[in-house]
Amino acid sequence: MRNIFILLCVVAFSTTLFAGNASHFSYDKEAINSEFANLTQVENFVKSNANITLSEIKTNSEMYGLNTNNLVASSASSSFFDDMDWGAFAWGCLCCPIGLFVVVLDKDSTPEQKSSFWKGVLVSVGVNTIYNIIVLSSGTTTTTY
Amino acid sequence: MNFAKFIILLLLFISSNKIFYAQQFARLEADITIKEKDRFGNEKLLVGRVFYDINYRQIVYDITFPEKELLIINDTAITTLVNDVIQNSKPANQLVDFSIFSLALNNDLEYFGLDKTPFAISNVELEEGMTISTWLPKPGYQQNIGKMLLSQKDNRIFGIVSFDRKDEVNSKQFFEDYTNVNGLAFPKKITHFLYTKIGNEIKITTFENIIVNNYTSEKFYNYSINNK
Repeated sequence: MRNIFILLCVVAFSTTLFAGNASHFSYDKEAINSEFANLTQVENFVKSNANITLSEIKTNSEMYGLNTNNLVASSASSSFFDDMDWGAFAWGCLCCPIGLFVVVLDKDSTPEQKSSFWKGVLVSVGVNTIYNIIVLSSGTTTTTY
Repeated sequence: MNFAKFIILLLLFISSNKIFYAQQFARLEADITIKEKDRFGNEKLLVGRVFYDINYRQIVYDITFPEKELLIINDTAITTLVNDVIQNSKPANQLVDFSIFSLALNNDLEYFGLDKTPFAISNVELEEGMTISTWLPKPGYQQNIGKMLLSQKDNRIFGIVSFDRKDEVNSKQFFEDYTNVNGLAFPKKITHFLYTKIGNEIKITTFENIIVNNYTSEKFYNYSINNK
């Protein structure tokens, strides 16, 4: 009886622990669109005026009917180098949060860890090859996508 | 033919078969726009075209706004060039493998490459039409990083949420508006929220005119920065 009670508690606790994760995967799209309305206007102008630069836009913003008060340079060099720290770097480096972890972790990786990684790759290749041989020799057809 | 030769031939056949499938999608290029609002209220816009070839392993951004310049990311460095002259170069490591371009072309986008990092899946749940998996850093790495949540819709990655060690959300990314380009599924919109102690940042990246396996823009796919 006591064990069942403990089991129920564990199940209830783990359910509570993992419940509600879906709420992390939503955001207010209308609010974002509204927040980016000015940038979207600039974007549309830039795309319809090839070769125009930021300095030209800022100089003639009134004539173009654009609000450039908060618009700052986002050249590759400024985004990627001037504010260089790993956080900013990962932020600037196009959708690469995992890369940050890998970089950070890679810095700390020991030769043993790297060695283990390659051993794992070799084992994986070996198991895969044996599996393919068994499948082919047994006459089973498989499709790879 | 003896058995040993048969096995060798068989292994060669299997290897070539796998290489063929791995190379099905080798190149990707797209118009790219990045709109960003940083923690200080600044607005930033970047417009250009991006090129990536999994064999050359370098991402080339041909940027037209705010200024005309090239940005090249490879396994060892990030380099910017203006008028074909190097302006800046910084060392970098393993950023190419975990870029969205590499992940998509290597068919690793489904888990955003998490399964190839020191994270291990610890829980999977179905919630509100999403498959949500919880990823925890493996022992030895838990001092540095927190958990990650990954959600999928229709077997495609939809969102990633990363937490710090105190279980506070520090980043969210959403991958939306998927398009199918010759069989390659690719998100046309990525919205990234970054939460920091001194403010939040939002970045929206959009891709248009996506082309797969274009072999006519060789200059950008295999841009050489030697002697620049």
